[in-house]
Amino acid sequence: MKHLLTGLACLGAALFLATALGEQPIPPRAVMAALLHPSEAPGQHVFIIHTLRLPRALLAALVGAALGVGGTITQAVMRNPLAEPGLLGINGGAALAALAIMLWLPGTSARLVPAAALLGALAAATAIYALSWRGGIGPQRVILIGLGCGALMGAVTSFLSAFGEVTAVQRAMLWLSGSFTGSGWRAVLGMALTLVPLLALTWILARVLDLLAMDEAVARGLGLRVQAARAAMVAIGALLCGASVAAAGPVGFIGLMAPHLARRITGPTHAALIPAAALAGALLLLLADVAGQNVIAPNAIPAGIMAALMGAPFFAWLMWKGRHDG
Amino acid sequence: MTDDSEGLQTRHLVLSYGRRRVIEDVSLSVEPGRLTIILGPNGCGKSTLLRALAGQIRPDAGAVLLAGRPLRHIGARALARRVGFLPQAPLAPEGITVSALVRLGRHPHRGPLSAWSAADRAACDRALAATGMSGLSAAPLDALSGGQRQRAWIAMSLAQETPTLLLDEPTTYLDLAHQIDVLETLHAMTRQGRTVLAVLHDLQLAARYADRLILLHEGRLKAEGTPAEVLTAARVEDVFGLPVRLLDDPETGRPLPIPRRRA
Repeated sequence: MKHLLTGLACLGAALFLATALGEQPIPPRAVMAALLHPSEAPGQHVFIIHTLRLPRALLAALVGAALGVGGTITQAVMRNPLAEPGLLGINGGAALAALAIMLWLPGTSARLVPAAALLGALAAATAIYALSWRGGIGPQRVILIGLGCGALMGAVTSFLSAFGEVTAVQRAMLWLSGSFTGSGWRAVLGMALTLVPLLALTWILARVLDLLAMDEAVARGLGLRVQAARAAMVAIGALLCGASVAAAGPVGFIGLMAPHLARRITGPTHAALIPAAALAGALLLLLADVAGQNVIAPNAIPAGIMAALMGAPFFAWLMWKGRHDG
Repeated sequence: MTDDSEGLQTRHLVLSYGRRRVIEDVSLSVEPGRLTIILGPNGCGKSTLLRALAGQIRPDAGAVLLAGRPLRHIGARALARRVGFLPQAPLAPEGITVSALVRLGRHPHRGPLSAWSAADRAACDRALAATGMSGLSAAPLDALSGGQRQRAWIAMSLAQETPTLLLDEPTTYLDLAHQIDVLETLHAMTRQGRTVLAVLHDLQLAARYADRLILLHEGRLKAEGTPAEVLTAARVEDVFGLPVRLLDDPETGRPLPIPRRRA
């Protein structure tokens, strides 16, 4: 409980930071004024904070939370701490579908891209699950088939972008790097409405995840219908991560890193781990986005790239430290 | 506890592992309130039989009955409230504590939304006390010795509070003192009215602790009964391919098989 409050406080501070920093920094006092009394604050500040920065920051936090929980589910179901939602085909399927839409239907509105990405993600996850089915799925087989399908979808994506029309490919590349540029309140609302019920459902099913992370025979001996539980949890995970990809493009690494970070603090019991992983994911992606907007301003690094740039060394350090702490 | 006084039975049970027949027409009854040990050489189908009795695998033919009803007619959670199963050397997630592990044993007794109750807590405390693990409940499982870890798993099964408990080689990887600890714990459980069925490799410990033995050979039931009835020199040589002499165990008066040296 103490950790949860600390985490929430950190998230609040990070949100505040995200609204203050940017191409045009706004002093903290002015940020408070614009947030609390928008009618009396300077119109320019209100516009920057309420229309540009706040929705963007909130969306980054929501997507990060969804990826953190999606990653936690994936690791529990696959019984592998190195598993991440990409193994379920989420990112590969979304990237391929989004690229195909952008290249082949250049006239279509940008609103179709997220929908295509979500469909692509869910289709890829379903295909991998179906290909792994042999009277039930085994985690090992899903991981191998997920890796294979990921490589295949990556190859097709590269092929398409190598031969596609240059400006369309460029637009697609920006989307594929996972970016929050131009995120508005609509996207925030959509993501919140997806995330909250799925997060609540996952938390209610925390004990099922505890059992799925155990030996299969133990879980079955404790009365869990393992195959049904696995399918249900994978579906929830795919929806969480699919919604994230639709909102922000494929963002790697958060789904792997957030659960690890959270587990350090809460241990492996999911009732505590799930909220912690949501908070860790939100914090990581939000900080990645803030850093990406500010390190080489006025140019912005997409959050997806920044998450990997910051995340990989951090993760390596975490693992190295873990090994030496015993 | 549910009244499972009729206990577990198999009727003309046939089991396969992939395409290979492992158990061929086995009919037996597990005597309630007793410690029964399944013996047999490697690959004779001991573990497979135990898993079928736990409802983990489906019979190709025949049936496993609990109190006269086929297992497949009993729901997963209902079965988990009546029969506990501990596989051999089970895996647990890194960093899980003993108390978190033991709490999982309460799963079949809890609804999806039901809170942790006083009864759940009491059951866990009893399970930890019975296995001598109360002092280690906050320790991470991976920081324990092999013997302590095995006792933590047994505590999880005890917290499940099933009238019947099935264990697959619960003494593997343990030194002799810890093997004795585990068997004493199982024996004590039967004296509280529970039925315990375990697969074991060690003939001598089995002969000492078991109320009843089930001897399997090449997927078939070779003998069933008390250690004195089951363990004859001729039968042990036939099943294990090992000539033995039978002594009287000075501790228990039961037969104590001693392998002969090969000439």
